[in-house]
Amino acid sequence: MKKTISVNLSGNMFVLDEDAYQVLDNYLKQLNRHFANEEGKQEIIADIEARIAEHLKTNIKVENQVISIDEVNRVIEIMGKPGDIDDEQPASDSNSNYRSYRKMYRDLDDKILGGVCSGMGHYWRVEPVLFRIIFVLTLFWGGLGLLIYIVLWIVVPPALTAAQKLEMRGEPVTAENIGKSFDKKN
Amino acid sequence: MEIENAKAQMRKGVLELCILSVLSRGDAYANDLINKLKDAKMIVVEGTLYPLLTRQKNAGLLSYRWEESPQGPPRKYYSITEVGRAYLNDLLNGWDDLVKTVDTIRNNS
Repeated sequence: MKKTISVNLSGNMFVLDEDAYQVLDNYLKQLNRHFANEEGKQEIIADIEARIAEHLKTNIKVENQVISIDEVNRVIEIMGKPGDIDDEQPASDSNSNYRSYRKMYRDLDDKILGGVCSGMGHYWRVEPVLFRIIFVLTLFWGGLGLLIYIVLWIVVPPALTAAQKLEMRGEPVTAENIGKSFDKKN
Repeated sequence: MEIENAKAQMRKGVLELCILSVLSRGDAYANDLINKLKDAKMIVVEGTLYPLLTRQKNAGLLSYRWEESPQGPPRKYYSITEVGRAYLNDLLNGWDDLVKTVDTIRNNS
């Protein structure tokens, strides 16, 4: 079972799988960044959205058909990644547009209790086992470490979506990377 | 890959000329433009067209109107302006000159 999300794309309603939605949303965000300095940015994006809607419509055979991630990837392939669309700007500047940044999340794929230590490990690029040892050692010094752990467990959000997992590892959130992390999962 | 890149740069240089040429023969939907340019292998990905269309429109070279479509919301229907025609003529002269120059260089060496 999968969650679906319905979107309005250029006046057409589409129902997308959650992962398909994320890839499309990211693609449009990338385009927004790519054309950030362009005078007609809104119009370019609106035109591209209209074209994506046209492409998605051609493969809809029955009403309420859900659009899959493969279908979204097919259309993105036709439309082109921002780098392929126009690379008139020097390459160096397009790189800085997609600068990755890291955020602290709890890593539920690699957890002992709440994934706090593995999350800290990703954040500081340190083996999570070090934090685990430190927290266990603090148990012998009264409960302060335990308290800190519980507070972090509550305060630090878990990395649930593909985009959050990429942010946790400090990889840029691009449609390509999200696709990769879905491939890894399946 | 180098050669492909060089070819892509050449195509990019004349893409503007090609869009205006197609429109000079009659108004068109983005869809028509894309099909013509794709068939001629002038563009690889469709997204390339849209920033160019918007830039050309902002420069007054072309304009569009909304046309009702049988299935779905209205679509943009592009046409070339008088300014665009004059600009296209300049571009075409430039193109002819360039072809001549390149031929001269190739054959005189």
